[in-house]
Amino acid sequence: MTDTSDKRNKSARDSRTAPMDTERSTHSKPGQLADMLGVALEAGEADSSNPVEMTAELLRTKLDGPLPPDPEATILSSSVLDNLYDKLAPQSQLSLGEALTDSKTDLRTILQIKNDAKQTAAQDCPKAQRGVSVTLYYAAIASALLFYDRKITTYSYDAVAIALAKLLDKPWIPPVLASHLQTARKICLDRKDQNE
Amino acid sequence: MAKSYRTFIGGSGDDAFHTTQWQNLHAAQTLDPQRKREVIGAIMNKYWKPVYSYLRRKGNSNEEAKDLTQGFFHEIVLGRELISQADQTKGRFRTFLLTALDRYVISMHRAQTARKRAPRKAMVALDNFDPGSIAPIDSGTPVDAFTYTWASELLGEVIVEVHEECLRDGLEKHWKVFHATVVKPTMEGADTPPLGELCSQLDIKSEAKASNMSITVKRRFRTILARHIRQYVESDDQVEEEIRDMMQILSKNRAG
Repeated sequence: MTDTSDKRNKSARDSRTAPMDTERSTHSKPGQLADMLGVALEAGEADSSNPVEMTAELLRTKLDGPLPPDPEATILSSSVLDNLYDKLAPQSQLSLGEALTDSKTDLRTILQIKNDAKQTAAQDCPKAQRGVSVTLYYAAIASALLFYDRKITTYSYDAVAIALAKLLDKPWIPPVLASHLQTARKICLDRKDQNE
Repeated sequence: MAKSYRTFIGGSGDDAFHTTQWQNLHAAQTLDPQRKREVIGAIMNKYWKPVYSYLRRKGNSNEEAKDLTQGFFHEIVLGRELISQADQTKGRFRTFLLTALDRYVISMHRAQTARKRAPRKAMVALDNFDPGSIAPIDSGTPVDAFTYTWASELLGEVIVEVHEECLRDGLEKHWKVFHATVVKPTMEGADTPPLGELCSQLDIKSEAKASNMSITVKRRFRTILARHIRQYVESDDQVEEEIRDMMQILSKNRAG
């Protein structure tokens, strides 16, 4: 287990005793418990028999979640430099989705997102998880193109344009990411023409 | 029609389904006395509160209810005869416990005999016995008291787990939105804060985003609740049925 997850687990343990978060100051009434059970029924869920819905839900959760851990910061944290680690990580308060679409996100972070997604996609994982990882991989490539005019992959512009077009056909891509991928695809097509 | 709750979002559901309460009861039939005590202790510590609430609502004193609770688990729930009946019924664990409890109380003389027969020191002690930790219920039947305490314990555990999962996955803001807009208003009757105000406090860009964050956690809540309930119902299809059944009983005492 990494120190990052240790810290999160510690945070979770600490939170068990935080009265503001999970402990109730008074006992709920029966009707209130019924209503809370009703929240679960009303919430709906990603239909596990529907891969599109599963992938969309998983992607939404990933985009709303944190950036992947910085491997360098994790190495530092395993030494005695915990205080320094706290200063270095998390590098940003942005969610993963915000970081991908924010022009101020630094290139190192974009590369980190791409590498993490590549690593996850290479693992033996469910189809939905793989779909999400591939999406994040190309979204990071798109960010580098859009914000830094850099192609952070060995794939040709043509290959990237084709991959982005395929992704844009996927029904699970949220609008904000679709627009991001679309703009990057245009750049790829332009560069491809220039190279020819 | 009830939907399947098998999903990998919010946790590895399949792993959680490997051990059901039925399997735990069967494990208690072991001849290994140490293992038997462990299983009895685990089952009793998990379920003593609803049983105790039921017995108190039946008019027993604190000490009587505590003794009867221990006797119930030792003599009735873990008795071989009842286990074989449970196999035939293949019903829900909550209903199974309730039915058994009803029978136990109806033939109270058996319970009293059992109390005399089984010296208390031979019984597995109730850990963390604190009647004050049980939500009081002033109205309704003993069955209502049982269901109320059962649901209260269940939701408490589920909410803690949702919180832990959110923190583990870096979704602390999501949790805060869910807690402020769903948990506190629903469970405690607190006012729902204006979403705009919450967005400012938590530095969330838009109300739409905050709503989506809440939906994400609601789905986790549903998944984790289903995972817990799945441990004491026979099939995935019974999970939603069990939730509706508890809601119906609890709604009867809406004013309570």
